[in-house]
Parts: sequence; C-alpha cells; structure tokens
Amino acid sequence: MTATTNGVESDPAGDAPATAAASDGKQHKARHSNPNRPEPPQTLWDHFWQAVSSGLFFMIVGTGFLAVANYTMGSAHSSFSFVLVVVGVAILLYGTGTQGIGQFHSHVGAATYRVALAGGAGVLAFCVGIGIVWKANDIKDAFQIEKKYLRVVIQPDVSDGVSQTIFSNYVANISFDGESVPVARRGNTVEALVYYYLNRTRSGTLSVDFYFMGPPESRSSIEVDHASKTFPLVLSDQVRGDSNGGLDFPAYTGSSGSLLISLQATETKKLETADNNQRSRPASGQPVVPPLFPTEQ
Amino acid sequence: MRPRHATAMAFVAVLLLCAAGRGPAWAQAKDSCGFFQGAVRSGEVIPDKLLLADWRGALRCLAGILDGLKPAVEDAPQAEAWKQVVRAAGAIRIIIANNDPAKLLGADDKAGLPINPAITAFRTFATLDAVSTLAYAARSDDENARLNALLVLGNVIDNQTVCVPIDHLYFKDIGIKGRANLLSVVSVVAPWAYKQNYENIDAVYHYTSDLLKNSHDDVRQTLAILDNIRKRLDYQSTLTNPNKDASLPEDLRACKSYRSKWAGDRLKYAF
Repeated sequence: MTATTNGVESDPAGDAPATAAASDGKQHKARHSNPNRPEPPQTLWDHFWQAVSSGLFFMIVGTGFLAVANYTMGSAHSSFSFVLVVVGVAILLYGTGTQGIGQFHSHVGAATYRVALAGGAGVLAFCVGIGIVWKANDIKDAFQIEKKYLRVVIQPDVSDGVSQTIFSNYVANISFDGESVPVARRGNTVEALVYYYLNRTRSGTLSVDFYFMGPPESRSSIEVDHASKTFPLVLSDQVRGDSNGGLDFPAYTGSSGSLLISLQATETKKLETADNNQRSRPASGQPVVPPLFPTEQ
Repeated sequence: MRPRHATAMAFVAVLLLCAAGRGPAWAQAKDSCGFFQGAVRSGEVIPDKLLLADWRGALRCLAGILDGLKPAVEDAPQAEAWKQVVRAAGAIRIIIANNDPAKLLGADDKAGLPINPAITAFRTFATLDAVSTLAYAARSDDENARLNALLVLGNVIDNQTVCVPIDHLYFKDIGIKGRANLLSVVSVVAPWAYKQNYENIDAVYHYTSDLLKNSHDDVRQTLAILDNIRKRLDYQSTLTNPNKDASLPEDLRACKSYRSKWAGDRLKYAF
C-alpha cells in the first residue's frame, strides 16, 4: 500500500526516513559532545542573561503585572487596570511561547502522520478572542469596578414639630462602618455619598451625628446639643432611586425608608417648668408649691 | 412720557421686583401672616431665624392659625389637620424656648425668674378657640399632635383660659392619654386659681375621681395626676391670702364668655 503525505511518495516499508532522521540526530549530538572542543566557562553575567531570557522569567513578570492590576483594581482608574492586565497577559504569553504542546508521529502503514497541537500563546489567544466576543458585557463590568455612589438623604423628623425648623442650626458628621463619607447640605436635608461596587452588595451601619454649631449660649432648651443615630444600610444596584443629584449619584431607596433624625431635647418634653410662667404666682416667701407631675403622654 | 419719568418708573419697577424676590422675611416685615399660613399648610420650613427676628409677629400669626384650625379639628379631624397643628405648635415651642428667661439672663436657677415674654405675648394673642384647638390636639389620637399641644398648652394656660381644658374633661368618650394630658394642664393653674376657677377645677377633680373609681383600665398615672391636683389645690389653704378667696380679676374673665360643649352647668363663672 502506498500512502502519500504532503504529496511526497514514501517508502512502503516506512523505515527509511525515520532511520535517517535518527542517525542524523546522533551525529548532531556527537558534534556538540566532542571532548576535544571544551566549552568556555559561563560567567555570572551569562547565567543572568540566560535567566532573564527564559520563558519562566517572562511568565513570572507577566504574573507580577497581573497581580499588581488585581491589587490596584478599584482604587486605580479602570483604564490603568486595563493597561496593566493587557501588558501582564502579553508578557505572560510571550513567556509561554507559541509552541506545540504535543506531537504525534504515526507509523501506521506506509504513511507518517505528524500532528502537532497548537499550544501556549496560540491557544490562549484563540480562547481570549472567543471570550472577548462571548463575554463582552461581563468584561466591560470587570473593568468598571470603580466605586459607585448612592446619595443617602437624612431628613429632620418633622413629626416632633421642631426638628425641621432648627435643622439649619446643626452640622452633620457621618460615617459608614467607621469610614467618614462626604456630606453635603441640600435645602433642609443632608446628603451623604456612600460608595459601593457595581453588581456587588455592600452592607454596613451609617452613623449620623449632628452637632449644634452656634455658640452654646445661643442654644435654646428645646435644641439638643448633639444628636446621634445609626441606620443599617444595604447598598446595591437594587436600591438606586431618583437621579436628582445627577445620573452618577442616585438616591438611596433602601428598605429602611426615610432616614429621620430628631434634634429635639428630650428634657423639654415635660411640664416641670410651667409653674414659672403663671402670672398669679404668690410672692416669694410663701410655702413651696407642690411640684407638677412630670407628664409625658 | 418724558425720558426722566420713564427712568423713574423703571427704577420703581426694579425696586418692586427686588422686593418680590426677598421672600418670607420681607413678607413678615410687611406684617403679613401669609407666609406662616402657607408654611403651616404646606409643611414648608419656617426658618429658625425668622422666629427669632420678629417672634411677636410670628406668635400673633401662629395664634391666629390655631384659632382658624378649630373647625378642622373639632369634628372628624383628618391627619392633615393634626399635621398643621403640630407645625404651628412646634413653631410656638421654638419661640418659647428661644425666649426662656433662664437662657436670656444666663441663670441656672429658674426660681424667681420673670415670666417668659413669649408666653405672655401668646396669652395676649390667643383666643379661647385657639386654646380649644390645642385642647383638642392634646387629647387626640395623634401622638405628635398630643405632645406638641400639651407642651404649649401646659405653659400658656392660666386663669384666663383654664375653662377650655376643664370643659374638654367632661367629654364622656375622652381617651386615657388625652384625659391625663388635660388634667396635667389643669393642675398647672390649681395653686393660683381664683375663686371661679378653683371651684371648677375642684368640680372636675371630683367628677374624674368618681369616674375612675370603677375603671378597669390602667389609669394609675391619671390617678397620680389627680392626686397632684388635690395637693396643689390644697396648697392654697396654706397661704395667707390665697387666690381661691378672690374673684377673677376683670382682665382674666375671658372664660365668662366661653360656651361649654360638654360641661354644661358644671362649668360656672358667676360674678
């Protein structure tokens, strides 16, 4: 039987080319192992250049780039992360090289089949190409993990009748899980900008502190000196509300509803001082009036 | 039209436009209650500074608003009516707090201090209908209205207006919390009530005590307040010239014209 490979007629026995190749390999090996021609001793510099020229070195460097990209992702701009990832992948692929990862020699019959599997960079490039097309949206999100912000609106508790009016006398200090967040006053509300990562949920406690900002003597008895309240928040894409603060800063619309704070001093909820305002009071020197029952219904 | 006249008219027009743009402070300066009426109705913020700058004018407006709210809170009041009462009462509380003599004089001891000028002013402006609005709110089902009205009413009540909460205490379907609140208000006047008021307070004390004798509800706090009223009424007996032995002075006889709704003949003002 005659088989043809690459248009070349082969020996029916099929031994001749293999034998020739084997004998040629032996001669080549013998030339290099000639004891009459001693190899020059390698210097440290030679070792260095061999090391930095090896595929393993480039794979390590590429991995380093990818590690830096992973470490800085979130804090660095997405385009910088993208550059780091691309460079890291490129160097890593250069280290692996585009070489066969497997060979198969057939000796069946008269034909010899040489099958080589493409490997290394070729395979990876092919896979990455398919992945880019297939997961285009996910890749976009992967490089867009910079912080997203929600406007958490804190309002005065209008139900107590006084907090709304005295709200402007206070300055707010707000933190989320101990980390201070930017705060802005907007009309008779205070807005805190709290970040989260896209497609991720961030849970924590919003600690709200309001301080009376005038001189102490100007604070009335109805106003509390310092009001403090905490709100548990779950930040995610699902609680993005109106965009009155701009498309990048939608309002937080969590299950906890409106975040209200009362600035009313609790000690003013009693009638204990009402006696001082009676115009028909007996003159001083009279017996002490039985104190009022401290009512709070 | 001469060019000079046209220039003058343009100047006046600009001035008017500027005035229109100055907002509530300007309106207040023009002695108008429109801003306060709008704020109480809509929930718009009343700036704290506005309540400081012309607090007498603000009190006059707020007392008038409470007077006008009486029909809304009298029969089947809606939640919106209570919200308006809370806004008005809250603003009054802020004015009273801002004018606290202890704060103004920097005194730690409140004994012997003059009467809060805001309370004196409110008594001047408040009608019996305005006090009645506060009494309705103090015994309402709305917790915020109840608390805010109680804190205003408890401070401004005196011999001139105590007939209003006394009348409300004769309402047979009054709630437990509302009754306790109004009894507390009445107790403020007890140590210095003049003859007519003393007798009316004493009468409502006995009426309520008898009513609660066989009550199955938890009225311990109400009974404690009643006990406090008794002590404060009896306090007058320890004085050499108690008010209970003197008829109401001429300037404190507003209750004489009050038409009771529930007390009937039990509320008497005979002179």
